[in-house]
Amino acid sequence: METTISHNTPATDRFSWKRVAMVGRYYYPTLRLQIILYPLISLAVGIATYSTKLWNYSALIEAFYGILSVALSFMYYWAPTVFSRSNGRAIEVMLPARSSEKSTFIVLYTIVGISALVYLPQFLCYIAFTLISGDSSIFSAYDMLHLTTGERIAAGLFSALQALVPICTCLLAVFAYKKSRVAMGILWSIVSLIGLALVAMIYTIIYIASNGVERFSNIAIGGSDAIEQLVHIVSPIAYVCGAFSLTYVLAIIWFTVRTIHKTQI
Amino acid sequence: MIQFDNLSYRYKRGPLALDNLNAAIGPGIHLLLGENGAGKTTLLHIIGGLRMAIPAHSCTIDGEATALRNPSVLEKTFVLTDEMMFPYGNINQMVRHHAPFYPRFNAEMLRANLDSFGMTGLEPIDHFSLGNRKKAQLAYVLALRPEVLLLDEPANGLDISARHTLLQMLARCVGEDQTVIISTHTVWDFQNLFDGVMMLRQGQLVMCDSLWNISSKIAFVGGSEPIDGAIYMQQSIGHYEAIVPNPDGSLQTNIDFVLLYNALQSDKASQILSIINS
Amino acid sequence: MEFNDNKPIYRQIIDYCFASIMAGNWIPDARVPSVRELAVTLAVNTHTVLKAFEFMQAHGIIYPKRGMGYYLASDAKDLINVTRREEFFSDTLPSVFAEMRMLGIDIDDIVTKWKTT
Repeated sequence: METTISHNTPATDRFSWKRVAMVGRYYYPTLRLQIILYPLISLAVGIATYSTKLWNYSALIEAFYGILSVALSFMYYWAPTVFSRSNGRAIEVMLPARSSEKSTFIVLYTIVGISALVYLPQFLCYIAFTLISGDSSIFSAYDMLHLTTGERIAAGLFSALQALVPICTCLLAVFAYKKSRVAMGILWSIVSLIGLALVAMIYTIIYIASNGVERFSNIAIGGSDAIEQLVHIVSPIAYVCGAFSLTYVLAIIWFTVRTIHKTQI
Repeated sequence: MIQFDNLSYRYKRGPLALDNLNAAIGPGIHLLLGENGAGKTTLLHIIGGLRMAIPAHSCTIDGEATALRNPSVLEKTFVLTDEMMFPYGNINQMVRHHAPFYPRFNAEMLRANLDSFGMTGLEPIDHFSLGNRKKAQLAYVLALRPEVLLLDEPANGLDISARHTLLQMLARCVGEDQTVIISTHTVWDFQNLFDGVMMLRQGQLVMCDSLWNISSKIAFVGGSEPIDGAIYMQQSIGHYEAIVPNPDGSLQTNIDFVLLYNALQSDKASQILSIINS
Repeated sequence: MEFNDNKPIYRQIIDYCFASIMAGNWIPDARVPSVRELAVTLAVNTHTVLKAFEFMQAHGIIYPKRGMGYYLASDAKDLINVTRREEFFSDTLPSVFAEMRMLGIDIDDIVTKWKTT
């Protein structure tokens, strides 16, 4: 016979990390499949991709794994749809926790948790295969460019920020809509990707318009520093996209928190 | 203690669902009557924190506004609506992941309740029929023992013996400090259990009173002949039923909820209400 | 227990208690079920049971012991008979008489029937 659960909820109405953890415990059964499956898929894709590069190089196989990598990205972008899996919307809204505590868990899981689930295994594969092969240049385009550490970190950061745009959009849509939550999550994340591409495109057009086409044609001719030149053109675009992404993600998170706070059945 | 202070609620771009409700509801088991669309479910949603009353303090539990959704008020209230789903596959998971939020949860009571319905807690409730799912849900929410429990059509979908089991379960599980509001059309399922009755008519709270007060002011009588002095009367095959005044409280009759409901839907409503409220 | 619509619930509860007492389920000078216990058993609200207990207490059938609940009087069975007779004369008989008047039945018809059955 089970004993009665004693009163172990925080006795205060103020923000409590203990309650955030309890919210996590509430969501755990819903998220469990994702927590187990995503790293496995990511690991499988990572091993397959890197081992191909190392031992079995063929442009066809590389293209195939390129597609897998894109699939992995979309698995990442659409991961927040897992929150619509549970039917218990009413139970969720009534759950005795501050809406800020609920949002904290949901946003942290999405931004930190899902990112780790999907990209940590990839990163571990990268490290493992670099150690195995003793040479990292075939694995990462960045290594070919002899960028400084600072530039590499910045590049990584901007890349991560841009990836946050569709996943946070998906999250907001899942919590904003009452019906077709999965479909709306997928739809709006695609819209945000298109938006991001448009921003890059618009900036490129402005850049060409202000700097002239000659710089591009010089690169097209070729030369040993052609790629370095390209990088120096592309990096301002990366900065702009990065800044745009950061602003967008912060705004979306704010809207998500507000939506969760104001949910009514 | 649930309190309404000029509580109104309007749907988005829609009509007024609740119109200026004022009432205080204390511990006990209360019946919520009203026709379809009268606003019963909306009212239960508001008390349970699923919808936000505007202004926030128009609906309070022990002085705290439900619309503010502070954890301390949310852990005191729970609404089980008709089509509600639980987020997990079985009740045992609810115990592990959801019950910890509710400090008054009683695991022994849950076992006894599930037992009464012939369940163990391991059954996959999301694959159940409506009736069986309801049973599991009711067994669970009664064991949560929130100070304020709101049940929307709890008997809906339950077979005859399950309704009887539910009646006994309510009698056994509801404590003297709990306020339970049951919205139901099948009043006879629980009728001896009620301490108070509320009635919504087109979004307005036309009555919110204890049964003792009502039965001390009016009486419910029947006969084979039309009844003298009836304020409201209805006739079925060879039988008349009426509501008559009970000026000195000497007539002691049970309350016929169906008759009362019909009377309050008729044009005699204001007459009856003025007697009850005198 | 199935309740009917005609008699007030608290009176039906009293009948139930009387039946329990006459059958020997409740023992004289022993504690009777508490208001809440009875309410749960019969699935009625406690206020109604309280009313029934107040009636029985007024007729001396049960008595309260401070802090310990209600106890059954030692002469409860006799008191029940007294109460039942009171009820017969105050409730049952008047409605019989009313029906007799309505149907035009004379008291002598009743006496005749009484003697022959």
